[in-house]
Amino acid sequence: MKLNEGIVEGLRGDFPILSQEINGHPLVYLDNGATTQVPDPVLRAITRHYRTDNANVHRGIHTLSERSTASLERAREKVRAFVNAESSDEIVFTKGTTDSINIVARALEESVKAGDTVVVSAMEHHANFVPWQQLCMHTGAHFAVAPLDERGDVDRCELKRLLEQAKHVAIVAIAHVSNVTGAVNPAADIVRLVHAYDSPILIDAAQSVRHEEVDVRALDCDFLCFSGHKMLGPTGIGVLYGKRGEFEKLRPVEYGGEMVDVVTTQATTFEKLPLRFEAGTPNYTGAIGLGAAIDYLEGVGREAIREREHALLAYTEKRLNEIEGLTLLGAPKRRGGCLSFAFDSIHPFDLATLMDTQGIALRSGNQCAQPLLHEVYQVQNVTRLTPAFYNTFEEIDLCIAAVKRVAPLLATASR
Amino acid sequence: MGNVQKSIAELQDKIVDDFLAIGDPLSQYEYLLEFAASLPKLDAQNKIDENLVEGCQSRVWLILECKNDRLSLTADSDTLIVRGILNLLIEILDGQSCSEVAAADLYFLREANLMMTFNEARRKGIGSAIASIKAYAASQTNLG
Repeated sequence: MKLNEGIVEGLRGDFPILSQEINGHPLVYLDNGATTQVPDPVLRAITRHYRTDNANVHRGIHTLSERSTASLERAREKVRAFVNAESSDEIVFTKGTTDSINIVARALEESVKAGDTVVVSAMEHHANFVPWQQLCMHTGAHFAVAPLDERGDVDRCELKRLLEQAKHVAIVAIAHVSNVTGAVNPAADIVRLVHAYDSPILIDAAQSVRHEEVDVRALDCDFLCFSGHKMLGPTGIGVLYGKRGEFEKLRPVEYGGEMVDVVTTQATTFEKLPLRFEAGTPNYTGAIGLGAAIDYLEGVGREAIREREHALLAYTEKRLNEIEGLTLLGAPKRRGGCLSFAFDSIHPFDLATLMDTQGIALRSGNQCAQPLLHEVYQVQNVTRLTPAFYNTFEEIDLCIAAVKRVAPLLATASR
Repeated sequence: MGNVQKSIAELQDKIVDDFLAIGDPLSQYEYLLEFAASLPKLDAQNKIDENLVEGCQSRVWLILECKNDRLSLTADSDTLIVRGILNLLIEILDGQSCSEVAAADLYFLREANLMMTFNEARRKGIGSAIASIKAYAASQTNLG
């Protein structure tokens, strides 16, 4: 089913937050790369669980605990199917993408040795950069950053060179889609390249999971992570997928209830996957909300969402190019999800503040990607725009009109 | 230079009245941008780390002096909206006695609804700049 404006108007009814006024203007929410809005069916699933089934999972014998556990495990199965993992054992619930990446990075502290190499790219979000940099600092491994080419895509020749030069590659961690430029990395090709050097690879799918094809078996990645709140789910829930063989090599990094098998005063044995990575009471209501979000996305149609979000972004790019003095960051072969821009003489904070007076929600700042902004593009801050399928072309027009209205005010005052 | 003929409260009330008379937020910002435009830019030699205020999302430089118990305030920022606010602070505080600056209740941003559309980080940043000015004024008062 193709998402036309009529169908989208109907879907917007599921997101009551969108029909409000901000500063006397209809809200135009274009900050979906930071967080997406939560539709009523997801809110209802969470409320229903609290109202009828709530109890701690995996422990009790009583009915509510059984129901709660079954709901959590159903959510895990939905996630498995969503990313096409082989087994739901390979799906660990975490707090979010950042947490997922940190789990892998900390787990590797034991096995990574001085002289090993860990590779990331220059387009990474801090969440997929700093944990690896810290891992290298703690272990004495070499931290290698694959540069970008002129368009802003990961330079695969340079990546290959880094892999060739390394004595032993401990892991490669790369974003599926840049959270700044929206550059879509050819993840499957990169996985093949990395595997040729016998290294595991982690894909940060935070920015891609809603609108790109994320099929872990087709990608053949070893780890993949994403957050619920960027795909219509609640905050505080995320996913770490790990291919069984690679996952089983990792030691747990958090200890406590739920993740243990036998505990004696002498020693402790751990649960099997995935529970050994879920110490303590998991965020089961978050997981249930995420499961409901997956149902919603599947209901709308993932292909339809992909097509709609790409069309909205392409239209946004075309309209932004009309604006004099505005520079888009990067010109990747494929752009998905988001784009960022800067004006020579306008500070993004000023722009976002004035846009807010027009009811338009954009993101301004360094986008948690200082290496990309400061070292690659030589800008301090940018403004980012991320439509979701529930945005309309009319909203993009309103946004462009507002930029055209406020940018000259700022340009004049900065002279 | 100097508005010694009017008190800090009088100067603030005038600003609040002017902003409230405008009404809608974008026009208020347009008016604020006029103050940003008329604030002289600080030269590069004064845009040094010692003059930077800590805790601001935007960069804010303050040069504070006290001459004959009168505060001299020079300021700049890399964002226009903050430049506008700094110029309002100069309008209100430059040339006032340090003891009055130290004791002043600076309510104009709140009452003119200027703080309303600022995010938390920017509100804190402007708060840090105001706190620096008042702390400096207090230190000069104690010296006297």
